[in-house]
Amino acid sequence: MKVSFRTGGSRRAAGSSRHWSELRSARWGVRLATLAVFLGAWQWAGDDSLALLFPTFTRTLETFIGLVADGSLPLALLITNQTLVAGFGMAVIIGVTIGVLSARVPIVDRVVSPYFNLLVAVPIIALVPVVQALMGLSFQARMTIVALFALPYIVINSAVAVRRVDPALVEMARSYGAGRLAVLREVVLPASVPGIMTGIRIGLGQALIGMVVAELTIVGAGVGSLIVEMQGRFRVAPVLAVAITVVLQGVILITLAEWLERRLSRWRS
Amino acid sequence: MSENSDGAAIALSGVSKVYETGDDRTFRALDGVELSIRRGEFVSIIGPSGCGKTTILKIVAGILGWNDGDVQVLGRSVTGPGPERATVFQSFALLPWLSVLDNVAFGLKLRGMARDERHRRARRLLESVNLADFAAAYPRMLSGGMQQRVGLARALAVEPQVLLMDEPFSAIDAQTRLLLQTDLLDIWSRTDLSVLFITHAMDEAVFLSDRVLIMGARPGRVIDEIAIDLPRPRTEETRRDPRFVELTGYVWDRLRGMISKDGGEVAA
Repeated sequence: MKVSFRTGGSRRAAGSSRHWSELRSARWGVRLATLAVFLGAWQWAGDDSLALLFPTFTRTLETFIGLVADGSLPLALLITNQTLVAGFGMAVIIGVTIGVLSARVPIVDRVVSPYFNLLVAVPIIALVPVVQALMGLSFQARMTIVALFALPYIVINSAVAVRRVDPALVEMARSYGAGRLAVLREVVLPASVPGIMTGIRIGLGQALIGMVVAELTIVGAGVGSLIVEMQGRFRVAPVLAVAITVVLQGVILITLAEWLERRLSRWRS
Repeated sequence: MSENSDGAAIALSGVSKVYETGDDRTFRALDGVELSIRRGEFVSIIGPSGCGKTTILKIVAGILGWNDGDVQVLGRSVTGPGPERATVFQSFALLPWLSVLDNVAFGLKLRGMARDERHRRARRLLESVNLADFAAAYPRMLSGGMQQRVGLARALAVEPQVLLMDEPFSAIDAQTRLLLQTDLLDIWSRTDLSVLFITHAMDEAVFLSDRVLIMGARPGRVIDEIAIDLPRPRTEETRRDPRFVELTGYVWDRLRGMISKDGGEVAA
């Protein structure tokens, strides 16, 4: 009995599990083949005769290994990620709080919602000069831009998640003596976790965009300065190597966020 | 009816409920409702849809306010939910992220009982509703009938004196429903629970109850009361008892008269 519950998260019958694993290996096969074709095309399109020409894959990889070996790329990534962690962390804390409050307290909703609807409608990139004028070329300025990119999605998704909580569950908790705080803690917040996680995942994607925008516009000692410096010396391979590293990091983080979201939403299916 | 309201489990006198429906109009859901349930008594309320049956239950549960009149449970005026009452819901209202065991223990958790103790008690109750093997399962893995057993166990776990049941079996298939009815009576007979049972199924009301109250709609009020003199314990045999058939027919006569008078109102 217990075993069937553990695996019971999916509705598939046991007999079709082989079919699924076949499907999965086929999917990985397609992915690897696509990657091979892509890298081959890159290798073919590249030209290593001059540093300022589009580099081949192998030259880019060599450059990447060199940048890692001399420590410049790890250091730049560390600095850049400090901005990401600080800005995104701030966006999650503030965003979830405001989202939950605006869904539960009408006055907060009326005060706050217009601004977040505005933030969704306006390209945040247009606010970069404003942030720069206010805070200068500082860590705080870059952190603020990262947070501004992520915040509206976290706020809106959290608010929607809280509003969609089944009123029958709230009524049930109240009938068993739950006050406002207990209803929030025992029913509303747990029920909203999947929706809040969706907001956090989308917000992370936006924060990664914000991180690159902040790095390139409000240049600090991170990845942005590395790119700007190499670009200034017309060295395309390092620019490409750094850019691809940032992209790969983003893909890994988003994948982790998706995995976490699925895990925390398992009870919903 | 009201001469002995101190001894009553539930007593409503002159209770009215008015909803504001926006644009300055109001809807009178309940008008001067009188009802009294003795301690240990099993009483059903039956009536056409929209007559305010569930409104009465929510008022007694303490999760809905009212406009006029007096509502008492065990001799005390209702001002909100209380530990002596527990409710079983039509939609089961189980928390999908909690295991069956934690769902049963939910009311106890809200009352601040320590984890080990509430789990011990929840396990005992799961045994009493024959779901001991499903403690670690999640509600979505259970059939509707099983989910409502969990809902019943959750209500019984807080050791209430008054059990409020809001159309608890209406979302459950007909066969399972009959089994749940006998199970419910079985559990009830071993306690001294007073039960207020809302239903729109006539046979269910007659099978379970000591008394059936019939409500009329617009505005909602109790218009008739039928004492069910079928012997207890009631079993599957009871359903074939001519007196059972007769009483069910009588309830239908009373309801039918009201429904056709109302201009073809059919329960949804």
